[in-house]
Amino acid sequence: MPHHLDLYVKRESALHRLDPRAKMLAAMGFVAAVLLVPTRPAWPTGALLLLLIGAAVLARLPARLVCRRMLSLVVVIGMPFLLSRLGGEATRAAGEQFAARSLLVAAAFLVLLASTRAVVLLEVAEHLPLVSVFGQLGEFILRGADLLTEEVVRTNRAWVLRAPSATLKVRLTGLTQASMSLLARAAARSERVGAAMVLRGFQSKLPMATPTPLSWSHLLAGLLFALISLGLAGVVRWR
Amino acid sequence: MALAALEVTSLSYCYGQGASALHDISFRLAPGDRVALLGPNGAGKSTLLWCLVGVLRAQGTIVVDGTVLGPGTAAEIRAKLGLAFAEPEDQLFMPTVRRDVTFGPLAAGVGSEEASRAAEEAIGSVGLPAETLERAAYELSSGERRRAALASILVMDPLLLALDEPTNSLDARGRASLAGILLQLPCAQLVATHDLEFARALCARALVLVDGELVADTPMDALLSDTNGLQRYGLTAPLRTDDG
Repeated sequence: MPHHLDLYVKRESALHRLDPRAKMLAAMGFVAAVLLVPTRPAWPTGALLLLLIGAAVLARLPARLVCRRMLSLVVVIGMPFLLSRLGGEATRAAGEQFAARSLLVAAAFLVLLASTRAVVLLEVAEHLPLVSVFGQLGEFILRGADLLTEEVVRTNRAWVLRAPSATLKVRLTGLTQASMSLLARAAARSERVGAAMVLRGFQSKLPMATPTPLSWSHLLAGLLFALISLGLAGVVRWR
Repeated sequence: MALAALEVTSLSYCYGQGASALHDISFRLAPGDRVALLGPNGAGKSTLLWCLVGVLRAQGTIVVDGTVLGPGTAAEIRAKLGLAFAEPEDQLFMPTVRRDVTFGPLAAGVGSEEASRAAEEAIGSVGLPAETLERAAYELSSGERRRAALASILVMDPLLLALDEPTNSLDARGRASLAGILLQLPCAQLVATHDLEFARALCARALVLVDGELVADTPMDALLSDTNGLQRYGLTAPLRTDDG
């Protein structure tokens, strides 16, 4: 895995090879369709789910891995859904809608992130208006998370070596205390990183490479997926 | 006299609390010179390097290839003088090595394709395969990180290269390999280190800093043969004395 925060799954697949911009277009179309279709009756949501499963199969993602990742989301999304069951009919319907839409949107992003390296997506975001700054921030967060993860692992090892018989509670307390020194170290590092950037000519905006043109075939593939999703939503709403 | 790659005159620097870190330092590097900046820990080697690139503002004069360091010339100086930090981690701040190595050229307005080509050349010049460009810094070994950080500086084609403790966390093979790379570079080099064996392999001349003062500017061989001098400066002679 290229980065600790990355959810990328290395595979040789058509979806992996598809231009990330086409994948983002497809994902946006899919998300819009999910938000447009009503959850009752259930078949349009089911059809969208099938479409997504198709994409996951195309990406040759291991089913077990997808299920494991979805499981953590189910816990988060499941809580408000369960609470909604205590309410009246309208509350229950809203709970179902929230759960269905959240799961489908989360699963769509999961497939996108599993088939595209996070850094590539962030580079695409960097070139988009409005979200450019988030793309740049994301790149620093990605790198910062790598460093922080390594620091935490080292700190934990140091604790284990110094106090091999310490309970989990003691170790967690130690890690919490050590987090303050991690923060101090992170601040010192950010000064040096700032200097490194200035020394290489940084002024106010991260320098970016000019993107290569998006090929028609990739654009059409992304557009097709988006249009199928939106078409489905349109048919349901029209009926 | 030919234009010096670097000319430092009466350089002094005090930390915020008034403690003197550097006192009245003067020296000169000709183009292509490789000079070791030696001294025990805390002698002021790193501080001197930070002053040279204008990150720390010192008193005195710093001239790089005819350009005097001042508020309006810092960018020009930094384009001519590349500084390799003691911790390469700090110079690899982007998610991939390619983004790090192309950072400088892109910031200087070089086109994407040219920047990419320059990055491939630079990464090759430090003995790393082109695939390294697509990797994340944390995946690299200490030696690879050191080289990747060096590539991010060499890609700017500096006239003068300043290296701060370049052998930190490198094993003997890594040190030898780094020395081989540096020996092939045509630019002038100022190598701050306490690794005398590495300094001897690389440099014919040594500057010795002790407690912020330049106490010697001498040929490397003369310094290494002066056991008493080394002891006085807080340095330890390398164990091996042959050229291997």
